[in-house]
Amino acid sequence: MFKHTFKQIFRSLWRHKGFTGINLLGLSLGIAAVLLIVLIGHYERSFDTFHTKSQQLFRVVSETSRADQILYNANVPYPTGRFLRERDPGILASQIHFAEEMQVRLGEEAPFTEEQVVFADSLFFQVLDFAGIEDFWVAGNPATALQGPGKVVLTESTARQYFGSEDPIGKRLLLDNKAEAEVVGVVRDIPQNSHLPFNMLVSYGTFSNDFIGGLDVNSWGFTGNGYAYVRLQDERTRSATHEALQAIVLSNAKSEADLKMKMYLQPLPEIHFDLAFEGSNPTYTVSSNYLNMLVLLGIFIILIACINYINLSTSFAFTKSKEVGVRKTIGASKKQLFFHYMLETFTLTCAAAVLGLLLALAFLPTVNQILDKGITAAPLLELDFIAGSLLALLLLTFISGAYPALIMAGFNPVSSLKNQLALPGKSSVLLRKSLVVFQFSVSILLIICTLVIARQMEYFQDKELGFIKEAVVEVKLPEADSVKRAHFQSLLQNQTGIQQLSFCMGAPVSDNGLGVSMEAPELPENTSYEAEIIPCDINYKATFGLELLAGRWLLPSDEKNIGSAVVVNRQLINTLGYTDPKEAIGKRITLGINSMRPAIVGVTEDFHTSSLHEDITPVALLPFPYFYVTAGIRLHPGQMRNTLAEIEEAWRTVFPEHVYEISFVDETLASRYEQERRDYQLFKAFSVISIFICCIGLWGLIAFVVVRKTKEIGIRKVLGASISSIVMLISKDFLKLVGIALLIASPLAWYYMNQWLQDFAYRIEIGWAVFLIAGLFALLIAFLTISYQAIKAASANPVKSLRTD
Amino acid sequence: MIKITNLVKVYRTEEMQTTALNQLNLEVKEGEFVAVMGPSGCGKSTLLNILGLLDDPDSGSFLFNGIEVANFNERQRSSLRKQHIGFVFQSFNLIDELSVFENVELPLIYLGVKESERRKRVEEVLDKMQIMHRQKHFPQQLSGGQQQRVAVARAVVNKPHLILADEPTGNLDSSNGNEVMELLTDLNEQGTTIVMVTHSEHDARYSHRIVRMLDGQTVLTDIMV
Repeated sequence: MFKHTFKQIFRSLWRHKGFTGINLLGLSLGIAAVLLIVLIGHYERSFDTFHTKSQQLFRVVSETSRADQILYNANVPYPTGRFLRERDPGILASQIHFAEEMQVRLGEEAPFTEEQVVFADSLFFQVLDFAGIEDFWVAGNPATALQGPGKVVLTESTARQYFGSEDPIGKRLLLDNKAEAEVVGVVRDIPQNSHLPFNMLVSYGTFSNDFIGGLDVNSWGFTGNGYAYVRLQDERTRSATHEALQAIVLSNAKSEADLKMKMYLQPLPEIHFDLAFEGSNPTYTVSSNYLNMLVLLGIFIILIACINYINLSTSFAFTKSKEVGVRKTIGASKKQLFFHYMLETFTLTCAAAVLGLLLALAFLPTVNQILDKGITAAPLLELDFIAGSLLALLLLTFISGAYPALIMAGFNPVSSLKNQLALPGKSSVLLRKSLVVFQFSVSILLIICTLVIARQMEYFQDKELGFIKEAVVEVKLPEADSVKRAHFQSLLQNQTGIQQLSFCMGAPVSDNGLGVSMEAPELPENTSYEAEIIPCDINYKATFGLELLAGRWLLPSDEKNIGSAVVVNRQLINTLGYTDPKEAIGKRITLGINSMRPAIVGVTEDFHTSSLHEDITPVALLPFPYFYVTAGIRLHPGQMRNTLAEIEEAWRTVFPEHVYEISFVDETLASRYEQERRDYQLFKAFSVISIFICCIGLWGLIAFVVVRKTKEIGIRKVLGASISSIVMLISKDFLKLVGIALLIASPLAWYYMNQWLQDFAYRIEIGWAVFLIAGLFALLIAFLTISYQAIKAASANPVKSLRTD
Repeated sequence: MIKITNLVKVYRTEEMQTTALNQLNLEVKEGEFVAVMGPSGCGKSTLLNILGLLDDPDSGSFLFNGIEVANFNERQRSSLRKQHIGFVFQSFNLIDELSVFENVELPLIYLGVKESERRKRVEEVLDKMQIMHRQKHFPQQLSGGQQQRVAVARAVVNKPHLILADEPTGNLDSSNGNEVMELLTDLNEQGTTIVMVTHSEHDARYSHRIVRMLDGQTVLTDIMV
């Protein structure tokens, strides 16, 4: 029976190639999109799952109340790990320092920059054991590898990159020109789905003040890039840890406001999803909402594909009616026919699944490239996934096939045999129209979302930030040495390609930042305020084009008397309660850096110091040469190539031992919108897929409509109808549906995108134009899809169509 | 075998209603070969559909082998149909995706006959219809006459007691038409009851009796000698 049925199904699918092709394409695209979404979701959910008993693992984090916000910080003071261990030896705690990048030198070779280097104490591998990674230790002893100073553990790739096929053990490296270390171990590469990625682990004994700009690694006063991890094996150590963290807060509080700080444990599996700590995580964080949105998108896309199948199959059912009549006449029961057509859907769905799988595998590298992830197809081979897929296939078959199969099995055999089946009833037509409206609503919704994201991206580019970002580069200075700075400046002073040069900690929007507490007589007591300090020289204003509102700009004398004068932005004086910038001149503020208490000598117009996600914060521009780790250079746009070469040459003359690093300010800024760029790419891809699936469905539906209306078209033409009037006759019903879809999608898209835009302190208004463009675009695409067949039908010779009918 | 009493069938649409069978009475005995004739629209096909349990009457009685089937539901009708009734259509109504063998085999599949038995019975009937050599061909590769032979083979493969033929020679030339009529006569001679709707006086002469219909009623019965 099965053999016989399958044989028939295959022949039928082969015979009706158009129908099969359209359905196969729609379903396989839908399935491919869903598979990719499943892989993305699986990848994100798989973060940090390679440690044993991950429910025992925690990271120490803190929460500080500021006047109008709560600051969440995953960075903790460097003594935290040691303190926890010393307070209770039962607490398994490890302290690390995460360096985004570090200069490495092998022997006499030129130095280069290594990214993601972790300084970790000897308990690191007892806390985070990476035991889920097969044969994690390639060489070396995990128990002793990180004991004492000057030890390095490399990942396999790093070792291969440094030493090729040579045995790396015993080889020596020079780190940041500050410390030497010996390779004592090699581990497998850290998977990309780790919240703490690293290429190199350096023993914590090697870590010193030099690696954090001379700040004291034993100080409780700042957090830098320190993290502490804890493995809690029982309830006792859990409560002991909580008490110890409480003790840290109590013993370090300098004011009542400091007592409001909380230190607590964040479960390791939550790290990747907790947006509160996004700013201080070593890698990106993803919200559960984002993953849920992806799932929803996947469901929508597969539903669009199912709807195509339902609509095409029910339309096609009338073509197959005679066959149904014959089968019924010779004894097929309704149940047998239902089963037969469900099996046909199942066969097609299985074929689409195979095609979809191949498509997903083919597009996976592109998705990885767009999203900058290391997603593999390995989860597809997991037993859970295979079982889930089979269930999903059955569900898909049921959703797509049940209604058409019921319709066909229910055909009246007499009418079927005579090809006199009544046209679909009102409810059936309404259902089909509703399904088309649903499809287009989803597509239009996606188009609107894509347009809004695109406009917000444009806004990122175009928004005036209060400083000049074009043609400005940041050149990293490896040493805050005034003699070398002066040398560097003298080498560049005659460069015509340079407009301005300023030594500073960084551009207004930069990877370097210094957030400190701020106190002033104008501010209420017991409430903490935060200000961002930008250490900079007297050329900063001219280099970045800041606008002075009142008072004066910094003078060379201010630099000699650090902490005497500060220029602040409008937001800072507003925080102090002044509306007129002049009123703030001469007032003093206390900044949480060496407790300095400078006088405000000037006020600038507000400028952005972070991405447009954030509000403008109070900023203090402080002359403080100790922090001049960057040269901000504004170039003449016309001669950048030569000038950049000259800058590099000068730099290499001054800092021959170091790695030259340069970045454009506008590019740094653009990197802050990486997540949005990915959202944009994702929405764009899903919009294209969904509108494409909709259109192939529409194409199929129109084909059936045209066949049905052949006679009517012939009669109308004989009576004098023009081609355009016939095209409109065929198109108008469908275009109306697209119009209704626009009405449904617009408020939903508006609501959703408004929510999305709430993430940005500075955002666009969603104007009516977006809806108009999306609507016109959908109408145009639908019309183009329809018109080819409509024009073909309208241009046909009526004599022929009337005769052949 | 068939006894129809006061059978009424009315087709209704929103705008109008048409009485297809109007208090029709008819009896067909086992082993009979009955031809039904009449002008278009007189209700012949409706009668055939009701006899084939493809359609149900609005009122009246329909006894099939002594059992009242007028009020049978879809499942009961389908079950009775596949066991006792074979159909031959004017337009053959073979399934294009199936080969000759598979077309003939289909009723046996729906009856749940085992594969080995199916093969035996299909080969037997194909042999009888002299189309064994065409068993692997598809309908579109056959002539009209051959297609109708396959259709007849399919109608008789489950050894039905009754064959309903709806203008079986309507799409055939006279030579092929005669061959099909010979086939039906042979079947009848072997004991199968046949009711055939036809416009052709020539074909009707193969039957034992011609029932003439007008406006949904039988108006005359000619007994053939």
